[in-house]
Amino acid sequence: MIKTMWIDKIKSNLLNLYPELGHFPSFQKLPQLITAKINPGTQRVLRYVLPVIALLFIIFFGLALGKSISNLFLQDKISITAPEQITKTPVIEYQSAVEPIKQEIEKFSLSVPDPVLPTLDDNLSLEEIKK
Amino acid sequence: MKRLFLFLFLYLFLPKSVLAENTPESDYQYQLSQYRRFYAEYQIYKKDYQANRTLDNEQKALQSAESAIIARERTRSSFVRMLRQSITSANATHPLIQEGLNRADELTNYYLTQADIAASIETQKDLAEYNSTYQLRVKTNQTSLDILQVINKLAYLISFRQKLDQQFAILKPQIEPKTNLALVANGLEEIKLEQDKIDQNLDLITTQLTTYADQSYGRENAYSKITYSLGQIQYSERRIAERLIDFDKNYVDR
Repeated sequence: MIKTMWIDKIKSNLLNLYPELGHFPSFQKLPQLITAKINPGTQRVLRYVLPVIALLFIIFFGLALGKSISNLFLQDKISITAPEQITKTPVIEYQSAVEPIKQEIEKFSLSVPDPVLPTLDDNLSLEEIKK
Repeated sequence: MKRLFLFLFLYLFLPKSVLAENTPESDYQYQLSQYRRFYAEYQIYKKDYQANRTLDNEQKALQSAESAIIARERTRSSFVRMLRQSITSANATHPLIQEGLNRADELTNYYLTQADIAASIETQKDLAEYNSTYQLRVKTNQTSLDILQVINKLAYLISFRQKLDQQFAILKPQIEPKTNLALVANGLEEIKLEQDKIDQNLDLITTQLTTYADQSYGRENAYSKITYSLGQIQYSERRIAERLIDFDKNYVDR
């Protein structure tokens, strides 16, 4: 009896918000119940907000349900440990004592004159030099 | 005691440049800057004298010409000293090098003497006489300077050869038991061949330098011929070095 009263209360409040529901038979035979007094502004907001909340609830509920079901079938997570770093054995290459001499030979410039002496005037006189 | 303190004070607080060692290179740089300064002055005073031939202008022009000549000769002298030092620092021994060092000493003394002679120029006649005497030696001195340049290069090539010979002397006893290997036998033969080529090129350069000193052929021609021979020596040395490295790395037991 109490359960039927609750359902009727919800239905009558819904009918108050959405008069369109009056077309359904279960909403047509409702006893005269006292509905919550809501001012028209809030009523207008509720009219649009309630379906959105209901939709979000369904989505989250669906996702949570899906996740809990998938967990039943999935195996435990496999953790991959980082591979050990491979350090190369250092190869000590033999350095011949002749190498530096060879480099010296290769770098040596044969261009002459080196160093270059700038041109110096060999005929400093007080008269114009006749060419 | 006071002197000791003064000495310490000067040593600690004098600028480093004042205490810097007087190397041939730093001396050359200083003398060259002096020459450039006096030569610029000479050009100005000469122009003044030619525009206005007064006794005062003549004296100024003569004085600046004298200073420029002294600086020029000192520049040349320090340049030769710089080359001489470069030759000696190669630490090479060869008759040509000793000849080069003697030539360098002779040239240095000549230029210093010329600087001393130039200090006594007082009249235009003195200047003209100085110039005419000086001109007689210009070409010979230039030849000597060119020869010194070649000997400077040669000194380093000879020093490389000596270093290679030292290394060869160390490696040879370790290589000789392996002469049954074709590569070792060929390598030793090649080294001998390249050493002979170096000796031949050294002889050739000695001849080329003698011919050049006799003024038998032009400067450019001589330089190109001598540079070619120097290049041949360098090539042979590189071949010897490569062979020795190969022996050292692959045929010496460690």
